[in-house]
Amino acid sequence: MNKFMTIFKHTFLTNLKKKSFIITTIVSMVLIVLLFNLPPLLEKLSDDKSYTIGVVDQTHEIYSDMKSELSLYEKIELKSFASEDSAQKAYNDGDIYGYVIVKLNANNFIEAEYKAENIVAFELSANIEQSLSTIQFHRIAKELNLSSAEINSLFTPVKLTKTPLGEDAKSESDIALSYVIVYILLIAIYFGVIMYGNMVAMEVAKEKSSRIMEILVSSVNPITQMFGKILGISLLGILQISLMFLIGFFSLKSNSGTFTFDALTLDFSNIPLSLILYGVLFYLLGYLFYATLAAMLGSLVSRIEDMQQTIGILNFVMVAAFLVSIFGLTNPDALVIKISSYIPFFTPMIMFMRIGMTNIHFLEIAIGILIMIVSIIASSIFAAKVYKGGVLLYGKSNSLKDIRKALELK
Amino acid sequence: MSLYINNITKYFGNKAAVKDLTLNIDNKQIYGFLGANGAGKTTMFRLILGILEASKGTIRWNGEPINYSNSDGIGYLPEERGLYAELPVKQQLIYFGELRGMTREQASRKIDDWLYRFNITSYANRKLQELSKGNQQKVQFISAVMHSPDLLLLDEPFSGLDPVNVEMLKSAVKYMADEGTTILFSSHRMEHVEELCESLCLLDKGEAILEGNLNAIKRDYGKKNLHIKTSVDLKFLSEFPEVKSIIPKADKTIIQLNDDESIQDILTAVISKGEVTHFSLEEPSLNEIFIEKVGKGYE
Repeated sequence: MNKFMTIFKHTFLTNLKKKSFIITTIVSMVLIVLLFNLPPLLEKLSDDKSYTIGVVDQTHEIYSDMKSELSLYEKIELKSFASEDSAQKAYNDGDIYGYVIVKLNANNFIEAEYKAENIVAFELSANIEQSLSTIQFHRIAKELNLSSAEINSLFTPVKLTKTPLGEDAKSESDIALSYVIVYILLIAIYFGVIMYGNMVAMEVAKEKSSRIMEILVSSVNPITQMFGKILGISLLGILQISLMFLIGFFSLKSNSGTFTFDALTLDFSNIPLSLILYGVLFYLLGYLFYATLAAMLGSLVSRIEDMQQTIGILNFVMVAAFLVSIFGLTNPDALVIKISSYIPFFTPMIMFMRIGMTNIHFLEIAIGILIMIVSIIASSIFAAKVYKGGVLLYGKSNSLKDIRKALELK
Repeated sequence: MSLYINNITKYFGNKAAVKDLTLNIDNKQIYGFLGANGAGKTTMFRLILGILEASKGTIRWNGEPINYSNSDGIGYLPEERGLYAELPVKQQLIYFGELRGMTREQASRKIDDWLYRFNITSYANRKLQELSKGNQQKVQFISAVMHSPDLLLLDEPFSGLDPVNVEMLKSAVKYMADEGTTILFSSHRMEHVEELCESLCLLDKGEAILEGNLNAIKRDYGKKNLHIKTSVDLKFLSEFPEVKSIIPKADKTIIQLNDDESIQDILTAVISKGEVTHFSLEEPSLNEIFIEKVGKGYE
C-alpha cells in the first residue's frame, strides 16, 4: 500500500509539474472561454455597415413595396434607378454595392436579376428574394380577389402536439437537453480515455526505454506499479477535466445560462445530475480498461518512437466506438447499438449514450457496469503478466509476437 | 544463512541461458560472477531477483524465496543503467528509497551521506542529465545501496568508468561488505574479481566451470609461474620435466610450472650461468586458469 502511494504520488506530481501539462491546461481553458463567448464576440466583430442596393424597376409598380418590405433589415438601403446603364454607372462610381433589375415575364410573374461585386454576401440576396416573393404573393392574392382574412387563413399552420406513450419516456425538451449533454460527455469520454490512456502508455514506455523499469520491477509488484501509475494519471485527468468543466460552467453562467440552437433553447440548470454521474462512472470504467491495456503495450516497446504505432490498434477501436455511439444518438434503439453496448471497448460510450437517450432498464446498466468491471480485472491480470516480461524485452517491436514472448519470459 | 541456488536452469526458447547451476553463497562476503558477454551473468542476477522465473530449480535467500515481501532487503545495480534523466538527483533518489521501504527522512539523510562520500553534494538538486557519465553512475550506485540492503547485486559496476571513479566505487563496495552486506558482483574483468572477491563462479555458456574460494581455486589448479629477470638465455630450462612452457616478455621471462618442487634446482641452474636480478614464484592469474579451462582466449 505504501509503495502504491509512493508511485501514485510520484506519477501525479511529476506530471503535474511538467511544462507541457501546464501549457495544455491553460490553452484549453482559454479555448473554452473563447468558445462559450463566441456568439456575442462574433456579433461585436461583424461589420454593421449598411449596403446600398440599386433597383431598376422596369414594372414601375414594385419599388415602393420592396422598400417597405426591406425596411425590416437595417443593413439594406434601396435606391431607385431609371435604367440599367445609370445603375451600372453608380456602381462604377462606387455609390452602390450592387443592383437588382426587376421585371415581369409573360405570365405576369416577377423576375429579377441581382448584380453585385460578388455574391458571397448570401444574406443580401436572400433578403431580396424573400421580399420579392412576399410581394409576388400579395399580387397574386389581389388578382384572385382574396380578402386579407382569406390570405391569413392560407398561412395557418397545423398544430401537432406530441405525447410520448412509453412509461417515463422523455419529453421533447428533455431529449434535446440529453442529446447535447450526451454529445458533450461522449466527446469528453472519448478524448479523456485516449489522452490519459496514452499518457499512461507513454509513462511506461519512457521508464522502459530509460531502463528504470528493471529497478522498479525488482522492487515493486507490477500490479502495484501499474495501478499506481494508472490512478496517478487518472487523478491528473480528473483535475484537468474538472478545471475545463468548471471554466465552461462559469462561462456559460456569465452568458445567462442558456444556449440557443435555432428555435430550441436549452436551460442548463435542468441538467439531470444522474446523467452526469453516469458519465463520470463510465469514463472511469473506460479509462481503467483502456489504461491497463495501454500500460501493457507501453511495456512492450523499446523506443518511445514505436509507441504510437503499437497503441494505434487500441486508438482505432476507440474511434470506432465513438463513431458508433454518435450514430446511436439518432438511432438509440437500433439492434447493433444494443449489442455493441455490451462489448467491453464499446460499453463505456454506447451504454452511456443509451442511458442518456433511451429509457434503459437499470438491469441493463448494471450488466454493462459488471461487464466493464470483469473486463478491467481480466485485463489488469493479463497486462501485469505481460508487463513483467515485457520490461526485459528489447529490440524491434511487433506487438502480437511480443505479447507471447513477454508471457514466456515471465 | 546464505543464498542457496539449487540446480537452476533457465531456457529462452530452446536455448539454455543458465544450465544446472548450483551455488551456495555464504553471507557477508563478496562473491564474483565471471564470464564473457552472454555467459549468463545478467540472467542469473535476474533469476535471483525474481524478475525472471527459472525453468527448473529453486533459489532461497536465508531459506525463503525472494519476492516482493522481502525485496526491501535487496539492492540492485543493473547492467543497463536506468535513471530519470529529467528529474533532480536527490528527488529521484528519495523516490527509489521510498520504493525500497525507506521513509523520506531516512532516505534524505542517507542520500546526503552518500553524495558527500562520492564528492557530488553540489549536484543534489541538478537534473540527472546535466551530470557526467561517471557521476550518473555514482547516483545509480547510491540508488542500489542507500537502503543498506542485506543482499546487494552489482551487475558490471565498473564498466565505462575512469580509473579514479573505479577506485572510488571499489572502496564503496568494500565499505558495504564491511557493513555486513552480502555482495554478488559480476564482471568480465578478471582483475576486479581477483581484487575484491573471496569466492567466485566462472560462467561459460550458462554453466559453472569453476566455483569456490579464490585461493582454493588457485591452489587446486596446482600450476605456478616463475618470473625471472636475467641476461641468461633460458631456453635450456625446457629440459626440466616440470616446466610446461617458457614465455618471453619484454622485461622478464615467465616459466609455467606444473609443480613447484624443483624451484631450487632451477634457481641454481640459472645462477650458475649468469646474473639474476629478479626471481619470484607467482600464483597463476584467473585469466590463465580460464584459458586453460575453456580452451580459448578470454578477452
